[in-house]
Amino acid sequence: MSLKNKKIAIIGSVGLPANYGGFETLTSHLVSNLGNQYDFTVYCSAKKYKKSDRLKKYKGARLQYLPFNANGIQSIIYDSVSILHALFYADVMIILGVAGAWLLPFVKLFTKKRIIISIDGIEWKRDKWNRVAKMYLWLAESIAVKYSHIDISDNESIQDYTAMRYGSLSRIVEYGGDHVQVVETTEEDHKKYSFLKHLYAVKVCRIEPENNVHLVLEAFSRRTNRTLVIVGNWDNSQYGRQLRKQYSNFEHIFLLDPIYNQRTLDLIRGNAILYVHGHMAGGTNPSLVEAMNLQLPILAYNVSYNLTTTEKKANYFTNAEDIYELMSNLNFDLLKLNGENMKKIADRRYQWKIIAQKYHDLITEALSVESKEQVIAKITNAARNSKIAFHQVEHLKYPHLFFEN
Amino acid sequence: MKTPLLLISASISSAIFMLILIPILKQMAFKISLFDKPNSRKSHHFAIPLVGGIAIALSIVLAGVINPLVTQSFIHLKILMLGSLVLLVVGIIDDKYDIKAIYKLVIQVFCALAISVAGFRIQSLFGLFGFYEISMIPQYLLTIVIITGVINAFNLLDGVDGLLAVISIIGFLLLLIISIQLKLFHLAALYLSFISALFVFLKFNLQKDKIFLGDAGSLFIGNLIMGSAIFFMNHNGFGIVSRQLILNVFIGFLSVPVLDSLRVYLGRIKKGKSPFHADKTHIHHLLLLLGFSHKRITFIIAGITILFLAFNLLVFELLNMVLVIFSLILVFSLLAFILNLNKKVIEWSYKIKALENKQL
Repeated sequence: MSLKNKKIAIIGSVGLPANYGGFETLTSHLVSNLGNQYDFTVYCSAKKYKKSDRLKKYKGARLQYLPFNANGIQSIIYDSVSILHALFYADVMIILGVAGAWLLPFVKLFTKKRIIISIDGIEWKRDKWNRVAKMYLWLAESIAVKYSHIDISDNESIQDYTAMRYGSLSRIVEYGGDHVQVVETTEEDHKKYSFLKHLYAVKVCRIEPENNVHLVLEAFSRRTNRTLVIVGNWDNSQYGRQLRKQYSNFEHIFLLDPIYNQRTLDLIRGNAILYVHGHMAGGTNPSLVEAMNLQLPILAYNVSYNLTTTEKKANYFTNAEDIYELMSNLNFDLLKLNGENMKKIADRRYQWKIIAQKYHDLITEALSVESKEQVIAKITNAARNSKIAFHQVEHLKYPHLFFEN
Repeated sequence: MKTPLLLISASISSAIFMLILIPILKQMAFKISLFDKPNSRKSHHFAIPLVGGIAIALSIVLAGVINPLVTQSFIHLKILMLGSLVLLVVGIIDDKYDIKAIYKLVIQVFCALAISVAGFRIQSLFGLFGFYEISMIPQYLLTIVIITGVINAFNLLDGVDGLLAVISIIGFLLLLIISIQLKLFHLAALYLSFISALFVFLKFNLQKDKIFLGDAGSLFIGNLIMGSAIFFMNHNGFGIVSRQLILNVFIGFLSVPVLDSLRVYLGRIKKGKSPFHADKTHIHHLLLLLGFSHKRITFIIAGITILFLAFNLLVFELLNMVLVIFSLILVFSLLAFILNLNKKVIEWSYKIKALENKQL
């Protein structure tokens, strides 16, 4: 049977056309890159698409609207209903996020559906969740990994974590960032954004403590001749409002509201001399990958996720002092090299064609495998009185595994 | 003197003896180094005198010297009292020198044996699992297992300020009600003096410059409560239904400490360790991880105990006892599961933090 007829359900994103985060952009590129090989169905949140905006089909994929929010507590219902609906037709379910994972043991036990689940970052550890949500997500993640055919992490550090916790091998598939483009500035742009004529550093993120916005602002407020632009949802939290109030008087610090227009966003990012990435949570961040595709020099928070994403070739900080130091002694040659290195990595790893190809391979594999690959060798579990001891090769039972370095 | 006056004087005198004895014993404790040194499992940071149990035992004995009702109770329950005092001494030695768990267990078994020889035996299960009167050897075995099990459960429960004292007060209140029902006022006097002594202990336990019950206290009190419960289950003053009710009530009362100790033992065995290997897996440790204060935890566990007790009382005539026990285990397991989930989330957060900060 040709793969042409295989039906794939993509579950857990807000929906198409993509307006939101990483999962939605991923879905969009999967559909456009693999659309002629598979029949896709994408579940969309009716809460985020007005009735007039809802499409039946998008780039060949069937869109299925459900009346729930794709994020927050409702994601449990949203994902669960999507999974149940997909049971009627899908050959492979690509599930983004673990909220609906409690259903997977039943799906695996009673059906032959193949399950590929992306566990995203380590969601249960995020500060934004309260205790109960953390406990649910912690449990859901373990079910997701144990009862899927293939689980995907977006970063090597997360692969280490799943190997430690579950003893199974997670596959790494990151995000693409080549949907961004370098934008030439026009006079109108200069009128609208006065900072474009300066050398400025830029940071685009959700305004949350986990993204270290406060550290970046603290460092730049001490250093008065370097311009800083931060784009984010300042009015969403007490943290954001407080920061905006505290730093609104600095002439060289520009705090902008969220920008949804791709050109404007690329304009502001692409013309910066430095991209500051303060994320300390959750794997490979789409925003970092996009900045790398724009050939921006990167100053990232020193955490294993960012180190692996940038292959340790960017600049890193752990506190405001580090940022201050770097901004005080800017070496433009080194910055340029940093940017070029980032672009090289992005060209090699963070292209949607490559990501889509990886998903294609995983779908093919999921259709053929019966069980998940274990990181622990079979010999480790061999019986005690087997020939291993006789041949004096017992050391083989205790291999040094990749995450134990 | 009239009985009501003697009852009141018993409780007042034991409280007064406590107030006099504790400051003296506290002084002595530091001289003979009878205190609890802080370590990684303990939630305190200073050496705390382990004199609560001794103070309670001495106060009760002194109350018995001056109060004829209490004296009468000593004579009535003499072997149980003696056994409890032996355990008190064992506890004091353990508090000072840390006896090996296995020796402690052997002594506990001997005390339980002595108590059962003296007639404090579980003679009937009142229809639980279909058993009524049971024969001699199972009587002894069951009694020994249950007494040692319960006193060790009490011992393990003694991990946050006020907890064991409050649970013990609930236990003695139950015994008090039963003894009044039976018009055994000398026993009522004994339990009353325990209750007031425990209240005074609570005051000293919850203040800044605190004292602990010590193993001496938990073994002494655990043995007395369990022995008394068995005594009443065998008492002829009650009809069969009332005795069944007593069994039911005490199952409710003991379910939290006993189920928790069983859970902890099983957890240790599963990890390949001795069931007596000390760790931080008790229910109060798990509640501490939720960020609750000691007083709050005492309040929560006492609340659950009262809830289980009330449940057992309410459904006594409606449900089969096996079903009651099954539902208690179910509710407790669910609670433990949630608390453990929280613990694992915290443990893995630390592991991930280490992974994230690893320089590649």
